[in-house]
Amino acid sequence: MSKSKVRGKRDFLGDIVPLLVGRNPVRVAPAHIMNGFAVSAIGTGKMSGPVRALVRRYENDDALTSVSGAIMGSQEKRRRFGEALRVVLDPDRRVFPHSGSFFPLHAGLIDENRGMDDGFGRDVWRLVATYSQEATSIVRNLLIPSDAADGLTALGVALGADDGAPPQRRTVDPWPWHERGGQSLAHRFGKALCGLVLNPITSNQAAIRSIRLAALSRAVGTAAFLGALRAPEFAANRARAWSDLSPLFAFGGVPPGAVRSLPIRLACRSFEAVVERQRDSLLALLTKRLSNARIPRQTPRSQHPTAIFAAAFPEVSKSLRGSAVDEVRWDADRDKLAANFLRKLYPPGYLAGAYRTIGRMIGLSGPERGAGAPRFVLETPVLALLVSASIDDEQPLPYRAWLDQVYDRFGIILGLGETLDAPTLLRPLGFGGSLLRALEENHETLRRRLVRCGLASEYSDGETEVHGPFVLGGAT
Amino acid sequence: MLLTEFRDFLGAFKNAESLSDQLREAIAVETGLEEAVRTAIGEGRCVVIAGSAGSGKTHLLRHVVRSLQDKYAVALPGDRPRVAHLLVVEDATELDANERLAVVDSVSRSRAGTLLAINEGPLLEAARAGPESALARSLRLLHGARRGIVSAFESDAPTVVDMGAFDALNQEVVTRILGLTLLREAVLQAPCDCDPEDCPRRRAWQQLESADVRARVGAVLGIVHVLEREWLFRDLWDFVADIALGGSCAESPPSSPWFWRTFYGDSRLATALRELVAPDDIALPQLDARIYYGDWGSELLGGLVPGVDLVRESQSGNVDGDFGPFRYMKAQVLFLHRDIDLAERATTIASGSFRSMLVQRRIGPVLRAVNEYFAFGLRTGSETVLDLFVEHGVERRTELIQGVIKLGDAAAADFELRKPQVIVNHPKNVTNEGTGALYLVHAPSNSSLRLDGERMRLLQRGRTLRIADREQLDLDWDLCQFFEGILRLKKWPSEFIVVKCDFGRLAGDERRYRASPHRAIVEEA
Repeated sequence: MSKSKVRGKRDFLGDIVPLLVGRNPVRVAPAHIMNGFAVSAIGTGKMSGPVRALVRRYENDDALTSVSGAIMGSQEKRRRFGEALRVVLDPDRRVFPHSGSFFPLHAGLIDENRGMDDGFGRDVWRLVATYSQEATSIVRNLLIPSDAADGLTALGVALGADDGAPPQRRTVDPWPWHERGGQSLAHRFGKALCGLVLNPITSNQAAIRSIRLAALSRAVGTAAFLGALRAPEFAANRARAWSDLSPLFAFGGVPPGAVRSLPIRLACRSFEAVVERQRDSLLALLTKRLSNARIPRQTPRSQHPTAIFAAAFPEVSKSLRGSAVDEVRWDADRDKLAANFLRKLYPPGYLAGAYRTIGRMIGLSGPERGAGAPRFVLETPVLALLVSASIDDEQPLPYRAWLDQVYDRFGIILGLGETLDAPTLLRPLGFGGSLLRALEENHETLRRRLVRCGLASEYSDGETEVHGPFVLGGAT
Repeated sequence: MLLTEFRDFLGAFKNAESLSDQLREAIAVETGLEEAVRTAIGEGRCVVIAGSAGSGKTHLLRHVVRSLQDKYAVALPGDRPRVAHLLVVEDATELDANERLAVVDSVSRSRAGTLLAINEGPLLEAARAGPESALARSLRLLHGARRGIVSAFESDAPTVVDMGAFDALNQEVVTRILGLTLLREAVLQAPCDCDPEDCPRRRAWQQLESADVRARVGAVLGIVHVLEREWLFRDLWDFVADIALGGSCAESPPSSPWFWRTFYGDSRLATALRELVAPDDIALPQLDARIYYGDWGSELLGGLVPGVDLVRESQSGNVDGDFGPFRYMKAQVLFLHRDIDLAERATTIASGSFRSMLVQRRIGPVLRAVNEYFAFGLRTGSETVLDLFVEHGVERRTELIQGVIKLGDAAAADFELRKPQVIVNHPKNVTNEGTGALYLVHAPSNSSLRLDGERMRLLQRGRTLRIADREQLDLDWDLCQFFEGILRLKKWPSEFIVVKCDFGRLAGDERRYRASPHRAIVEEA
């Protein structure tokens, strides 16, 4: 049986739903999302090809004038240098012989975007550029350093700099949630995601640049994942509070967690509910489009499918629409037609599998494989990022107040906050009498973990204060 | 009257606020902090005593105030005496956040100093209300002190005493408390139906009249720190109350003697000791059989601490299957026999080589452990420098790592192994090490890494490649934070090293390169 041409195609709803899961979610690695982001923010660099040849094939390229002749002239030394560069520039192994994404050590290494990020990077840049006027200068200053304070930055400048004109940035469409105004949850969420990307670690000029770049890459991936989870719901309804959406509960312990523990079971239930609600939202959007599609009365019955799809999805290419018409089981009832179409677009299990895969790579869902049900988790670097993005001015926050802040900004429930009524919010998940125990267990597990990994301080009278990463350990 | 109040204190929730001055005087023992606080006050300082309820804040404060009463008048918040006075706030929790800030920030020409006791919760609240206030600075000092950091003296910030870090189980403190006359009287007059001359509780307490035995008990109590739980003065007093007045002489064997209750009593400390060093777990090859069969020969009795006698069970330990009498005798032999160092044995059993290395505060082996850990044990780690690594990987790892990147190093001379500090920002630079995990502190950058038992176990075990092994993730993260703090000062401006990992041959190949942005050149270093 041939592969469906429609499955995972973002074209049908991509104009109204940003960060929509695409056709190859397994390829959407954080490195590719970051590369897509950088392409949109700065443009493509000129050195990615020659450096890729060196890193993957140990080949010399005339453009690599900055590498000493002693290295490039010796096959053995070139191989050794190529291997070392791969550790620095391709830690996630996302640079392939003819394409791929480098660690963004310099703008010159930004590769052209070949769709490996399913447009996530571009969309995150759209969001950030819409909400922050300084985004361009922050990202440019980070990726095009004027001076080198450490050996790796010096490497980046030496490898990435070329004598050509600065890369050209493309103009981007404004982010759709921005127009909804301050009362809209989508607008506030967009702002929070922008803050997540331009987080205090990324913006901290005193910090080591490698740490800042890694934080930016991680943040771009995290923003893409969190935004993608909620985007269809925001497109389908005008939510004013997180309680209008499906509750997102994440396991607070070290992932993947014991399958039978209450917090894990609750996190699995939440994952299922969030994905299910996303499906419902997509169905609502498709139904609306198909129902609103008006065709001339005199259209012959045999041409109804083609005409309705043309009216509902005018921006989609004719051939793709044709594939949709061929693949979707026709039904005159537009509601049923939309349901049939959604089954082709995102077959049952497709979205859950996609979010599990993308989230696993970023560190927000798991387990990676096996029979365990997918769940929301927080890998330690992502947890640190969340802490960093939810603490203003590096002022420590009491643990419960921090939990409120995480919920307020990102809609993630992790425990029992001061004002956050987590038990009520999670009640729709149907966890019965165990709900409070699950929450309490997660609350305490996460608290201990934050302390253990240096993101919180615990006082002897039971007070716990959450503080940003790279603060206490930093030079004073 | 005093004895009755003391007995009531022992039998109730231990709260220093409820004690009469007379009783407080009678049971006060020097902790070593009093003199430091007095010196700071003598320099006109504001001293903030922080800690949780039961940690001994009020006790310390009142002890100091009493000793300075002849010199200064005592003023409470709101008072404005014209004579030289000491502003004392016994419990700042009773004030609201702004009042706390106002008290500490207020000035008076006739004030000799300020002494304020505050729980940590209210301190955090006040610091948040006034981010630039003296209390906020106290909190920052407290943060650093918790991580073993001793900063240079700041004349405009308070001196801070962190009772939360004070080791309430300090050997000298325990020895002094067990030697209190009032405590001895309480034991002698404890209600009991047995003959006062043959009462196991009273006879056993006579053993504690030996300072040597009391010191041995103090040393043994100290080993509970390996459990990494929090131990307060309240726990110590609960323990003292239990060994003095708990149990019954009518049981067989009697459960009232202090040595029995030390292991088998109801206090938290007794439970912890039982967990770590139950008498059954301590093998005494030369003596166990003698104790079991009641063979009190010269080898056993001659080895006792001078001046103390065993409290013998009339029914000796030769009853088949009944280990009660054996445990009864062995519990006291463990404390009273000169050749048995229970504290040392317990330490070895509980913590193995980890403690021996850290107790000696040897930086080299710790640096080597961290260096080897981060490079997956593929090369011998240096003991003279700490390698400072950065990680570029973002994606959750599913494959073997290719190598690690080194961006600087720091000399061993810049590191210290420190415990949390009890006294910080003292005008005479007085310091006092507290209890808790050790910290590896890089002094020039103040970056520090907690080294508790769990972390040392992970460091010694090594960084694993197994993707499913998640235990080490939090340590990896905190190590990166630690490195980053040092790198801000110690990064190489134009060099980097890649340690290429070859897991097949179990070797790490170090490749050093130099890069210059100005001449745009990369070459081998």
